[in-house]
Amino acid sequence: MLFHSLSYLVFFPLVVAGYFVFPARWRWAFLLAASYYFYASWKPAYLLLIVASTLVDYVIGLRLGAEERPRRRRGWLIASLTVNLGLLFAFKYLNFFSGALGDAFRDLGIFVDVPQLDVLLPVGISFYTFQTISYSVDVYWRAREPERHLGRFALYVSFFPQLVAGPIERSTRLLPQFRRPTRLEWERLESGLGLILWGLFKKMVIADRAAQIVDAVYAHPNDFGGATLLIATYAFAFQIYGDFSGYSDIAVGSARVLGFDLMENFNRPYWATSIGDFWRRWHISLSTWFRDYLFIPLGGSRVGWRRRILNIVIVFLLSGLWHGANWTFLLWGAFHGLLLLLSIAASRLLDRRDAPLLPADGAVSLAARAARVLVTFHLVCLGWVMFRADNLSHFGAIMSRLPRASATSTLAELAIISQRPLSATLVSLGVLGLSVVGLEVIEHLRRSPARERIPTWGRWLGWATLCVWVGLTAVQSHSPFLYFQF
Amino acid sequence: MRRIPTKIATFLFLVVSLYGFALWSSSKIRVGDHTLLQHLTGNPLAPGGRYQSLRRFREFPAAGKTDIIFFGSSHGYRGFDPRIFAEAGLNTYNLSSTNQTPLNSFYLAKEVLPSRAPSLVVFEVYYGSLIIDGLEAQRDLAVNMPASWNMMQMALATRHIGAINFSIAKALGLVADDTTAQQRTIPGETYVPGGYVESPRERSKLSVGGKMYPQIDPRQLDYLEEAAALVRSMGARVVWVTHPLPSDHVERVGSYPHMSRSIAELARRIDVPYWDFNDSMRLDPLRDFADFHHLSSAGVRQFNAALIERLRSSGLLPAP
Repeated sequence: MLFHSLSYLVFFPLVVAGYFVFPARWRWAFLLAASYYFYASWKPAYLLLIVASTLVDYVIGLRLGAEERPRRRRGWLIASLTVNLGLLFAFKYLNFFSGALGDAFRDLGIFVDVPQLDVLLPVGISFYTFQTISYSVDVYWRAREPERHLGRFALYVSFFPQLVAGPIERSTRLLPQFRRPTRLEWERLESGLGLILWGLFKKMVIADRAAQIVDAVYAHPNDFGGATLLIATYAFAFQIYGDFSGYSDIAVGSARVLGFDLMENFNRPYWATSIGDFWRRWHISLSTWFRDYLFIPLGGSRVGWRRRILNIVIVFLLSGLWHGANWTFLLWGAFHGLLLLLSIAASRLLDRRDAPLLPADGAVSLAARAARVLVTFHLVCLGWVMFRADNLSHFGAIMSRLPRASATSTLAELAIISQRPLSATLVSLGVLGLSVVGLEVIEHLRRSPARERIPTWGRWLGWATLCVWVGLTAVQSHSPFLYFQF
Repeated sequence: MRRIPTKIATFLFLVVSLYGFALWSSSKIRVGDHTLLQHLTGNPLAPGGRYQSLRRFREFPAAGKTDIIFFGSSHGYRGFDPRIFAEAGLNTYNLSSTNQTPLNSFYLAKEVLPSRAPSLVVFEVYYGSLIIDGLEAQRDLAVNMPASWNMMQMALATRHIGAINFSIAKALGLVADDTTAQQRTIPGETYVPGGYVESPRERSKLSVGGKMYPQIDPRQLDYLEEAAALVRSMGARVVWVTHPLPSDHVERVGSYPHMSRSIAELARRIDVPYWDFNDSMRLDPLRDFADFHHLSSAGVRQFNAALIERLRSSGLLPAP
């Protein structure tokens, strides 16, 4: 059940109505049933997996809470990690690694039939396994008590707004909310529905419209000139941002209407002034997960520089691999890791200077900041080419075409791919451009103190305009959210 | 809490007002050859523009008594020639239109059948119209037919925002009026009164290429069933017919036997006669076809004669 489908349009109001009508002490059961129904709507068999994962971590959590002997406790933690990562490996990576093994054997002249698992990747598995791992580790660290209520724990694992594509919530934040009494409040309803609408705008107006350009150009990169490929790359940057942050907004908005607060997953990532800053703004729930559960336990920054470099490389390679079983994702992770290392090295060099390179304020500083934003954005875009490419040779084909001029004009090329007259292409590009500008302006406004000064009628007019804009300019593709595949 | 419904109602009023204003203003702004509204709804068609629908649907009310009405895609309007049926003493009208799917046929039948009492309704069931969503036909029909509740329901059934916006704009009188437009002449085809379109050309070569495996959209089978029930509720009889395709076409569609079986199973379940003429007719894949899909005049003559014969032998039409 996609968030931007008619099914969700029916499902969500029914869940909200049912949730607030149910007696408070049984609301968890209603929400759990709704969450399982939501998940089963993809494939009922997936439910077995999530129920198994829930039971294993519930029992291990109780054992970890009761056990005092460190070796036993470590044993239970390893059991939890083995089950969760084992499931993830079996469904997501087994075919990739066995394929790579088969290729390696073939290169050596040995022909071995390496077995492949013929199953679909269960939707959301990367998200809920990371969520359950964080629970087990928190209990192991005694950062929280084990959850004794199986139903509430099952709801923490399967809470439908964030089940299939995050945000990856910490148990310390989400589980206590399931005990708190909630009631239908106008403020929550307004801001929650507003966020849902904002997410639909990002997905259906920006991401799906940008996807029309990206899919057509990246499908045949050799047919297009560098300028068209560059436009397609910028379009992909906003496609993936609109798609994923749109999903997150709908998730946060849906939870908010029901009375729960999920963490913010994006914070204007394309305004980052460095790669480190980008990762503090992009998929925040994943980057903080890797920071807290991998980077810091490995020693973080409080180790020698060689070890620190190794830690960063490990984190980014695993982050790349988390996104998918493909060499392009590994390359993307390695690229970001390398950029972060270079960025750290550069700031160390600058720190050694007695006087700052540029004045702290004024026009020069502003220009330098703008330049840093531009450079970071383009480096991120370069990474997105790796991320979007089907394989390494496809990536090579795109990169080799980027510097080349085309025989026909870029507008003519765009008109050809849209299979419509030039005027229709211009309207589509205009809608996309206006929407992207609107996106950035409103994202800025959402975080600014000026927001508080907007009168109610102004806010309502804004929401109503957005409603009409989505209603008139949405592209209907029925395409799932990109991050479902991760 | 009690104020929530009032607030929601106020907000909805604001949205509807803004929406109406946006539709009106976008219908007044021109970008290139089309209005902004046409660009935004993805419907660049003008009444009488690309297909023969304007003439077909405009002539229909004055067509007089009709024994048989045909619904279907271009296979329908290029496949049933009213002149051949007239020779057999039958008045027919062809209400097929481009890419018309069962979804479109159902709402179209709801719109037009109450004003007529045909004794038989024939649905041309081409697999290509069962694998699509009905959007293209809705765009053509929305432009060339007057706005009505059935046409609005058709737009809603496509579940396409652009189609819904266009139909609302049409209902509000914001798009080009089909009553004053003239049907454009389309080179290479001749419109025959009664809704038929004749293609005099013949195919020059067979197609080559890999196999295709299209799959039927289950919603289209549901609408096929609903359309049959609708026709029966009006006291008419119903037949599903698949017209012959070139043999090289059928061979390239790997899932053809499976799709044909699905239609036949549904027909059996609801007791509707279903005849796939690809099983019983062997036509010349070049001479009897105008292209990869459609019959030529020679093919139509043979197919229509065979269909009339089949209708008579099945008791669906009286003997001559």
